[in-house]
Amino acid sequence: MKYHAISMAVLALCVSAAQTAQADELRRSYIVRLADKPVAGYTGGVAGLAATQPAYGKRLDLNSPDVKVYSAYLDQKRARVQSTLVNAPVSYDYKVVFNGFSAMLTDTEVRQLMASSDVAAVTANAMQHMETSYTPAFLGLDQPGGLWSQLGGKEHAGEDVIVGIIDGGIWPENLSYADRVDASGAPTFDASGTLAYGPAPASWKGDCQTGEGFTTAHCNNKLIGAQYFDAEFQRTGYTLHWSEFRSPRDSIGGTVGHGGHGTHTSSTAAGNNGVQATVNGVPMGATSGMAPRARVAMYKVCWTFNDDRDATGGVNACFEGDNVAAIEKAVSDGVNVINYSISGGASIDNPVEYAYLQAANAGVFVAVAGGNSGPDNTVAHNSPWLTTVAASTHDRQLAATVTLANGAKYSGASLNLNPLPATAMVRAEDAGVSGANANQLSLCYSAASNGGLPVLDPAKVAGKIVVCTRGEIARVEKSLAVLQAGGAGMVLVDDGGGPVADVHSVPAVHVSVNDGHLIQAYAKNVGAKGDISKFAAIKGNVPAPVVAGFSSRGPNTFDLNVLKPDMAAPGVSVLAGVTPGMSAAQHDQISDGTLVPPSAWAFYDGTSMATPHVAGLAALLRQRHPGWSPAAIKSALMTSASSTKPDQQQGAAAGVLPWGQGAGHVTPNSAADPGLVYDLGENDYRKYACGSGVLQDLCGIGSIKGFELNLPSITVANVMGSQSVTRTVTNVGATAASYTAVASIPGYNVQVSPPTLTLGAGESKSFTVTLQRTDAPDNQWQFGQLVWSDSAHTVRSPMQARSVTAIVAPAQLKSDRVSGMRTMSVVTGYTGKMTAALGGLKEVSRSSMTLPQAASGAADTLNQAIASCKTGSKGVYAMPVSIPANTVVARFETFNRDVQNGETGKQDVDLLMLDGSGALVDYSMHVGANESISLNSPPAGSYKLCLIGYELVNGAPAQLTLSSTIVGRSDVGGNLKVALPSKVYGGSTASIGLSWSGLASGKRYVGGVQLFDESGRLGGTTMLSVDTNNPVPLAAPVARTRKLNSDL
Amino acid sequence: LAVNNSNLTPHYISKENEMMGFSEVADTTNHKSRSGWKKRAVAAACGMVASLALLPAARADVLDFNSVDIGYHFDGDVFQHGSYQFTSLYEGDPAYGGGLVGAVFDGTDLGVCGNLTCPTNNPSNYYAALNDGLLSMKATSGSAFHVTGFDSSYIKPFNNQNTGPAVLAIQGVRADGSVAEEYYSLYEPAWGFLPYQTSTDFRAQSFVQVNFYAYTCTYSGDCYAFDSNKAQFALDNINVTAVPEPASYAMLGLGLAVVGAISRRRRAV
Repeated sequence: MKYHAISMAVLALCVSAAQTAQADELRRSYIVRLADKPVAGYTGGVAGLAATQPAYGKRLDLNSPDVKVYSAYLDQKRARVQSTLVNAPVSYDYKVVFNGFSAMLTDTEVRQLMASSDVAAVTANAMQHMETSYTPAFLGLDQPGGLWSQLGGKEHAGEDVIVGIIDGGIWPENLSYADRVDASGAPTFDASGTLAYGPAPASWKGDCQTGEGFTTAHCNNKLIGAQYFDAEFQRTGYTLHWSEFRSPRDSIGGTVGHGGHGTHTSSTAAGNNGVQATVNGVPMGATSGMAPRARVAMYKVCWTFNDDRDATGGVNACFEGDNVAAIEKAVSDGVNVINYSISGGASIDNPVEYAYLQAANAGVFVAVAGGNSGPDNTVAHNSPWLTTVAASTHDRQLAATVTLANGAKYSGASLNLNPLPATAMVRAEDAGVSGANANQLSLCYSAASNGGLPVLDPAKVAGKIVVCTRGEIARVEKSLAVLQAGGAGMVLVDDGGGPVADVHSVPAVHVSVNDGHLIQAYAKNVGAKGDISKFAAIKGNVPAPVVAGFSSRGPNTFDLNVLKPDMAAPGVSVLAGVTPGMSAAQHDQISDGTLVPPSAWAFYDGTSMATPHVAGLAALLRQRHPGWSPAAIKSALMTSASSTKPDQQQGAAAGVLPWGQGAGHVTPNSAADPGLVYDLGENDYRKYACGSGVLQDLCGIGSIKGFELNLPSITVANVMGSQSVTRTVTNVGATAASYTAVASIPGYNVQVSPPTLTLGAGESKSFTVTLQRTDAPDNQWQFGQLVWSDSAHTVRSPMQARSVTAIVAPAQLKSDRVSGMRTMSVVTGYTGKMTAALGGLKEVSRSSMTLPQAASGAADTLNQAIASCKTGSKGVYAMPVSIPANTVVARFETFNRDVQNGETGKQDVDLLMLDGSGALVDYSMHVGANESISLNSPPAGSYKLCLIGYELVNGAPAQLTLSSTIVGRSDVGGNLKVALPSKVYGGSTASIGLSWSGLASGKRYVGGVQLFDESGRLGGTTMLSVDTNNPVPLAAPVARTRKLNSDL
Repeated sequence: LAVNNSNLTPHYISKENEMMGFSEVADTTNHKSRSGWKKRAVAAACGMVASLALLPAARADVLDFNSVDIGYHFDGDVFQHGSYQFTSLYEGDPAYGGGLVGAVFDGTDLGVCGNLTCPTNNPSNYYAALNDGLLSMKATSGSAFHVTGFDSSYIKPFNNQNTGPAVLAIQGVRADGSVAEEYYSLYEPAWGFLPYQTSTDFRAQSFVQVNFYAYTCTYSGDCYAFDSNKAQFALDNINVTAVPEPASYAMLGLGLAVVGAISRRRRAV
């Protein structure tokens, strides 16, 4: 054997470079990561080049000689790789937090790069989106606000800390970014005001970039940086929407565009204190960012581009190549905190996640949005070096009261400005047109949602308050239906997602599930009446904080041994700066500088809104404790967090569980003095990355599992008998202290050793927590906690554990070889013999069909999709699938490449599978047409596979090819064999081999193995996927912006 | 059987030791940890017969497995490589056997180890001992030979709970059936294959058979060889020198005899 066949790889590069020159293949966008470490993560190892990673607590200095020399080395090596890509357009070169480049590459070039030892990874560039779920406009408020006055408003809160916002741009006219104050101390842009901020901190290296509607005059000592990144976006070929500015300026919002998000997140994190907010001309009182004295640097990466599928004629997206460039620049510029309210990061080797690993190494704290696809288990940004934030409610409710004629009063979320006197009331269920669908009627479908056919009967509704139920269609669509039927008001009964104050077409109140059922019972009576009051801001009327239904739930979708989300923060009805709705003519005047536009504010919901609360708090902690690492700041926020209150979700989706709230709701006052912190650094992350199996190039100093990371949470996905975890705490208090542990979790005996820790100021000590399974049932997570306390501090860590079945095998193994081997390690929970059954290898079969555009409302939510699939209605293509007995694995797939005009990902096709009873088996409903449903050991029966043309280009039917494979034990192919161990041991692992030979090249095959324990019970099934067609990487799946659950 | 931690103490595997410069020679005539297999091996050695086959010329060889077919190896499987014959063996519970104990992997196929962690700096074939497997080698001729070095690495299972470093044992069987044994720390597969040299004492000795097997250790330093399926290692580039001395002629038949002894258990399941 030889070590490191570099010379061979280089030769291969040269050979294939010659081939690419003649090929005129389609180019797609990729991010290429090279093997050398980026500047922020380089700890030495290249002969003659000193380490460039900053020391603990130190900042990265890009001007140091060592950094310059190493940068030059990276430039040289990158150029060498790029020289083999003769015609590939390169969008960005990266080297600070990510070593590599983004480029448009052909399949041949991708394969050539993947084979090169200079290349660590090639990732398809993914399109991400901002994590706001709704952007309700807001009509007036007669009570002053002060939403964040208890948290912000401190004289120097955030002084000289730089908060970088990677988002959709900024509206520089908002007083949140003014650097002067008037005579009364309020922020002003007036040149006669007093300068309230000194020059940017000396460490600041960033720029104020000019462009459409943005000049250097828009930056100042508060808004110290503003830059935009669109090279990758430009490569997509999309056309900017008219509402957009090619500059750091946030795009136009209101009902005509998608702007406002970047302004909202940045003003929430670090907007000035004492900014008078008005919404549609109505004063809302003074607002403040969480760290009002921090400096703001905007890095615009999200762009609105033409897409006539949206009512505005445009959609907004953020391309990862641009995002990585922005992270790279922000870290180079010297920001202390980054706010990233953008989707993505399912896997830790995603380029953005990787860049953030290096940002953490450089001492930058990063808060990321956990996602708005809740209450499903869809949490985003799974990397342990990130602080992933869930959204919760606050206790300030905008509410009105509905008073029934029998005297009963119910308060609910409302923005009703026009009180409605006593008015007749009717249940929607009793007010339908003849033949109306009962479900649609109860949900008050509008005509537009039902193919133009109204479901409410004007004869039964006219002049009345209609009691409708939430779900399936937008909430405001329901009040529109009531208005169109001549109704006078609406009571909206919640479905468990939690009431929301919206602007409705008629006076409306959104009441809780329980209150709603009481009102419905009353409204059945003949002569039922009620009145609806004007809304007011009420504090303490609703239990808060409660985790929002839309907040994506854990557990971690990449590694079950690491808790995600990490914590919850306010993300419902958050008031902050946005961008106004303006005309195209006004847009052009802003662009050429002839119009100074007004500011605007709005209430937004989303984990996007929760994230900047944490980013702002981190800025405050950074100011208070300049030497703390990002991990220490995260630890302080987590161990001081308090539990949220129960929400309406059941089971694993319950908001009070760590899957909903993480360690809990942030409690800023105690985070400043947490007592103990659990710290982590570069080496810990590298070992974890190595052990994760996806970032093997970071190996070299050992590997650890997720539960071994020194996180302020303990999560063990499989306790086989017993499991010990070790943690180290550092006393960050001013004096020596003695802490005592209390720990428990149902189903396990917990021992903490030592049970007490005495630590001097600044001292660190380790302890071990041992979980011994007692009566914990198989496969069910148990939840408990570990609390260290002294006389002054309570340091709380959530603790989650589970014990799984007798055999745990990986779900899938992949190969691209016609003959080959795949070895897998399975976890074994019993001692004795193991047996197996094989299926395949079987070639994937492809069938062509024409898929129509599905009707509106066919699949906006998962429930809609299930309903449409069941009945095969609304243009959903329902295909019967028979799964025979002894099926080992089955897989159904569609690809962008296999859909007519699908290459750009603009054809949005979804897959859904129901069993014989109509129950959901699985679904794959991402943006684009790369969808896959895999079933391991599915029970025999009649299933239904539904293909949904969710959004097809121009609404036109599209030719598509479905790839499907059902592999049974009787399917034999490729000489597939399994190699089992002689004996397996309880609480251990065993290695199992799969081998095959003689497959044809250029094809795709599927096989599988079922593993049985000694008593013949099925323990685990692993799919073997062999693509001999030399596959190139697919983009990571992107969740729909509009979430799938029924929380509309 | 219980081969837990018979003669290993934590300092053998501590990181304070130089990565490659340490080994321990245990001249064990009463080595207790190798019950079932060892008994058979000794019996076979006693039953050897003389052969008149031609001796190969004395020479140094590097056994790099590149000419060996890739594939999985079960308990009792035998393969030829150069002038040597290898046998893959299961040494656990005698009531079981016949299972997967090793493989010859193609190092260019980086996914071959699935969710295990294998060394990746080896773009050619190498031997992987799996599930506590033991690899035994002898000259096809039966001649004695010296082992001067080899490359090795730990192979980590998935979800490597409570598993610390690992130890590779190399055991030389002399013509008289006595045994010499050395231990080497195995390191993270992420560090790749590392070269090991046997001690001066060990390499000076002539063996008719050499066995490789591993111990897996907990962080507290307890090491186990044949009762967890976690003791796994990668092996390549075994440096051997044949010994053309008359005394070893008689060993020629040994390999065949051993194969006979173990073949009754081969693929017993």
